[in-house]
Amino acid sequence: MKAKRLWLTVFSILLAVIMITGCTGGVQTRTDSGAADKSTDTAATGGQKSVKIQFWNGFTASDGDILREIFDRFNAQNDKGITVEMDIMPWDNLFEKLAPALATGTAPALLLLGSEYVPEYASTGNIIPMDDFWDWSGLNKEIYAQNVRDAFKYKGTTYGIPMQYNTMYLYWNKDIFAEAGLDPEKPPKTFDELKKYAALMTDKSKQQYGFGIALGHSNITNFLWSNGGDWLNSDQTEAACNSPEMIEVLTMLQEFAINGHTPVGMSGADLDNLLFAGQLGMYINGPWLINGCRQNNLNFGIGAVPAANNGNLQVPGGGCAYMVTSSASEEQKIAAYEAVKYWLSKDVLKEWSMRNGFPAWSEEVLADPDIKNDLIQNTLGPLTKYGRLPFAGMPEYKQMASEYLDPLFEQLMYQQITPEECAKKMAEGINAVLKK
Amino acid sequence: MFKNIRSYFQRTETAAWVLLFPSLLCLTIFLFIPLIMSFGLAFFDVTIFLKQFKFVGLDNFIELLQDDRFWNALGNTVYFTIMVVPCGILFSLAVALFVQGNSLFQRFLRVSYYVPVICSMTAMGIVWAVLMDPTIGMFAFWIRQLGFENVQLLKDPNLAMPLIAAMTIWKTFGQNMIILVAGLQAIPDEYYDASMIDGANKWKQFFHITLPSLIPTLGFCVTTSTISSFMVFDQTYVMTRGGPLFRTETLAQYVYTRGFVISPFRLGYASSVAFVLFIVIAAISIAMYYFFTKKETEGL
Repeated sequence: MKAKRLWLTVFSILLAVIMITGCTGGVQTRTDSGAADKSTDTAATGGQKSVKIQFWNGFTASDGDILREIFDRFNAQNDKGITVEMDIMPWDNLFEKLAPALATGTAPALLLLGSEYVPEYASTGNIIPMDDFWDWSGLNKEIYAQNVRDAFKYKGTTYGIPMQYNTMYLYWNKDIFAEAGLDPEKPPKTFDELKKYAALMTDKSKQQYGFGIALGHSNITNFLWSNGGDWLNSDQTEAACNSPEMIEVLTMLQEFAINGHTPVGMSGADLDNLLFAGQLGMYINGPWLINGCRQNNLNFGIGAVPAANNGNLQVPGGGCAYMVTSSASEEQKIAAYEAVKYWLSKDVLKEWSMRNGFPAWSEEVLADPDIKNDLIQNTLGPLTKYGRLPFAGMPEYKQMASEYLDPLFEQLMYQQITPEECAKKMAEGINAVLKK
Repeated sequence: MFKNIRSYFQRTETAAWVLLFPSLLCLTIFLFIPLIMSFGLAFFDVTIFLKQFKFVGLDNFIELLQDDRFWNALGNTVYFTIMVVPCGILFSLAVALFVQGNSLFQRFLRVSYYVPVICSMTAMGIVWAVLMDPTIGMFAFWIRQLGFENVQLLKDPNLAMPLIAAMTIWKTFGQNMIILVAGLQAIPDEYYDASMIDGANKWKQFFHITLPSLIPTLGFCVTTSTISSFMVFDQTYVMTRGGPLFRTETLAQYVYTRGFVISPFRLGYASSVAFVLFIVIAAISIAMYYFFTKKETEGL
């Protein structure tokens, strides 16, 4: 009996020890800012201090595989003990995770975000200024296109070092063009041609659509500027979108839905899949689809978005930049800078452009013979001049988009409102946010 | 002295508190304190970054009353509950009556029907969203094969919520079925034997013996199903994200959207919506408790 009690006591003590040690886990160090420094491993490894940084991005397509390959190489090659731990997730999930992570100081040190997010995250102090990057890195910033560098500034301060820059392009399925009796080498040049071609290529019996319009107001911007309209007045103090130019564009987009030439209610990812499946004649998107088209053996073309009937062309431009969050310690910031410096090397930028199709934006890459002879680069490079940042420098942009512009565009495509009502309500929404 | 301490710990009440302590501690840390803090936040204008707290009193609640999207979310939640609870309970009851026996086949069916319950709602939501996709989904394909052309399924504003409700019933009916089977098996056979001697047919047995005897069990199923339906989030989030046209945006999702998705991440306002959701659920639960207690004592 006594022996049984003894065994029970020993077992209980052992269990308690296991539980307590299990619960404590590793000891976390804290940075000066108070943020949990979970991603810094300061254990000495043969005299070399190793630093781990988390890196979040939304490159879920094939471009993410290339990105991961490049950073795996960086991890293996850098002699400073830096490890970049990449976490790729859909953009929606990224933003939903990012806000609470920033609030609790547990955000990753390094982020890849689009230029449109700079004002919002910079104005709230969630990403830190990176003006010191160029001096720190010793890189000659002049060889990198100035408009690209400036795309990630907020009130004159740099908050992001560019990763890539692009405008929007028209993809078309050459096989569907040929089946519809169109010349596969001659994509539509104007709005009218776009409408005509979309009608010719739509075949409901095959679930085949002539043109894909995803939900999201950026589909309006693809045509609005070319048509002479704009979202805001020149000093960005008032909405300018309740205009005949806007109504004309909205009418055209709604007609695609009414005529069944575009599927309605589709997300960008839905349409990407439809394009890859060979069920979409034409689609406007960024260069990140090039690789997917190649991998799916799609006989495709890529070129300029159709211009207005008067020949005017201006489309949304932008890109992604590396940004350092307020959760990063000084040590992590330097590690992030090292990773960004590696990215800006000629070989990496060239590899990204060649394998992924993104237009080159540094002088030394542009001068490279392989780039000069690449068909995609030769097609997309000259189109960069037509790009323009939408809602540049406006922290209120995302609120305008999610509260008013996107829901109203969805209503338009589902034919719940007329183009006139849509334009009016969008203007009212923008003004309401600006007033706040 | 030791004797006093020993007798103190030997008291049933003390032992109960000691045993409850770990659970109460966890509930306090992870439920009660966040709940109280959330209620407190409802009276502040504050974003998720918790940088500037501005006391606004009842302003968030006043704004909420004028917020069309809040009323839309409340309507959608009620619509979902009205579809899922009665249909789900009736379906569970019908299946429970069929599989209540203890033959090998019936036991196999009970286990089979319970499998979706143990699967993740998120994973099941993703699978069903693919099945119901209007372009690449299997359901759309077969519907088109039957000659119907315009198949929008989850992209159809009028169909999206009923389809999510149907998926929810499929996913959850097994849980109520198991509880109802337990309730059915607890009804003494003597009741049925006596009624047969009195000449009662199957329908009379069902309405005069089975149903009245199941009231406590049904009350539990209805109450828990209603509470979980009012808190619906996972399936609408993964299947439609609240669309199309916000027709599947529920209250829980609206709380999440306001607090974590839409800039400027208004946590205070989101908390006020959560507060209202809490009150609605509490009121319905209390009303149901009294209703079923009354029915249990009075009979049907």
